[in-house]
Amino acid sequence: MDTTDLFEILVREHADMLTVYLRSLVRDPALVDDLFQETMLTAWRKLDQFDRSRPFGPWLRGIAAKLVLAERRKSSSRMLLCDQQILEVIDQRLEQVTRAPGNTLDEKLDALRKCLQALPEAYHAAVCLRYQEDLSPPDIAARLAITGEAVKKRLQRARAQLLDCLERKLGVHPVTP
Amino acid sequence: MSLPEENIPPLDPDELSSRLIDVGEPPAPEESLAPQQRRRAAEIQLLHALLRQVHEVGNPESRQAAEDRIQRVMAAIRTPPSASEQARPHDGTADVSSRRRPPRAPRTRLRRWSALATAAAVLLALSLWWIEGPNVASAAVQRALDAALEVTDRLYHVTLEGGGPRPKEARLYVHGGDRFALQLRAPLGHFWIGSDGKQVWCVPPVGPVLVREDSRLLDRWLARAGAEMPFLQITTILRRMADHYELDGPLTAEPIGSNGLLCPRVHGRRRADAPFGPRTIDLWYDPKTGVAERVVLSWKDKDGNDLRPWKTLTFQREETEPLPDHFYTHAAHHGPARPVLHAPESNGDTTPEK
Repeated sequence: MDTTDLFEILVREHADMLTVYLRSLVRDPALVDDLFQETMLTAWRKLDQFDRSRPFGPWLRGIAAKLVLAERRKSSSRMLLCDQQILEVIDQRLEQVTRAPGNTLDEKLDALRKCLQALPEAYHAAVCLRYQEDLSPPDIAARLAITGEAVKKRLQRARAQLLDCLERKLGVHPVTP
Repeated sequence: MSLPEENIPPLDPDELSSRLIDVGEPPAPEESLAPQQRRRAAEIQLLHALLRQVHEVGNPESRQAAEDRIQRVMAAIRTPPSASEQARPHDGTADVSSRRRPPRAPRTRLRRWSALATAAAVLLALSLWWIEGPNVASAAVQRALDAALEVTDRLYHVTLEGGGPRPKEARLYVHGGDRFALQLRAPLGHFWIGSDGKQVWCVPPVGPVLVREDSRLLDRWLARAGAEMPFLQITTILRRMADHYELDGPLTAEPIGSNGLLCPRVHGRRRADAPFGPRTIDLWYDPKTGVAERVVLSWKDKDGNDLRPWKTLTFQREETEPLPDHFYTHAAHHGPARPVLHAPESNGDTTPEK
């Protein structure tokens, strides 16, 4: 049995979850890729320290958290808000998402898809342009023929509504770190 | 040090996070936020990442980028380091961003060696954890079988080639290892053939519904429906694959299905001492869940000649909503007025239910 082949299965199982975790803390996509690789390689190196009676995902996120904080100490310009409390909240919320019905992270996000469909049309359009077409707020403003400030407000309010909706759909309780 | 909450300026965490996410403004020091504000900012940031994930599904470029991330990790693990690389010191956290891809920077490759030092312990841990069987290919088949046995609804589009001038198509709903419902198109409507785990049943387009406890009757019903299929259950196929086939793989991942999911393939060749079955079975599985995404059974010999009336039988997974509990009973597929005949085991005569 080739250990690296077995580890590859673990990497594939948790790749999406780890990417989401890192993207919730790091703004720079290149740095997300670097931290993804560093986290997986650290996990590989320390795999003998992993307690196999416990789930792999939180252990992987623990490794990622240390790397993210180290990066944050060097430079904050490529990061989102990131400190110990924020890390804990994101970790707990992500754990709640992973307990949702479904085999894959993608299936577990069906609740979020339903929330997206329930958004008012103006908010839905702004979110689609921002995430599906990866447009910046000025580009979205040009596409929708509205001001940049209006785009920011729509995105901000859309996220607030999505958060409320997701809490209801997943039946989660507020996180208390 | 955090400020007392009552002295914190009234920052709106929604606005702050949005400015950070959408405009790229430098983040405010986290200490300037109250705990409640930080919590809200964290939730918005996670939502932002989840939204990106949701919108990337089905985007070939994004999926390829995700696959590239995985490939880079595995390449770094599998590529031996040079002597100069081994000489570099390393710790767990420093200077992540100074490295670029590909190829990966030396320090990460160095880690392979410390990892190999623990390989024996890892091997034991992983094999006890969930891997069974002599190699990765059989572990993948076993994992697919475990996934097929999960008590959840899955739908497969079935295509049978051979045994007739045109391919026959059907929809197979499965629920774990013992419940299924097969829908076949027929001249006057649909044939439904299935099992609720206790009884097998057949709902023809017209005429009475047949129910029996002997599953061998399924073959006769399938023939009546014009679709003689040698296998009706994914679990049966995967069990035979694990028990009676020489396995090779996982082979290079290929995009499978309408959403282009990258699935590794395991190729199975029937052993000489196997009692019967197709010459080859190919399994494409979801690398994250192990779920069989496509299974192809082939009866062709190595020269491409057909060994049976049928040539290939393909199961292609499709998306389905969760089905009602009674879906795998015959009653879910016919009106209340249809007569239901329970056939006695001995002679095939029928006994009306009412």
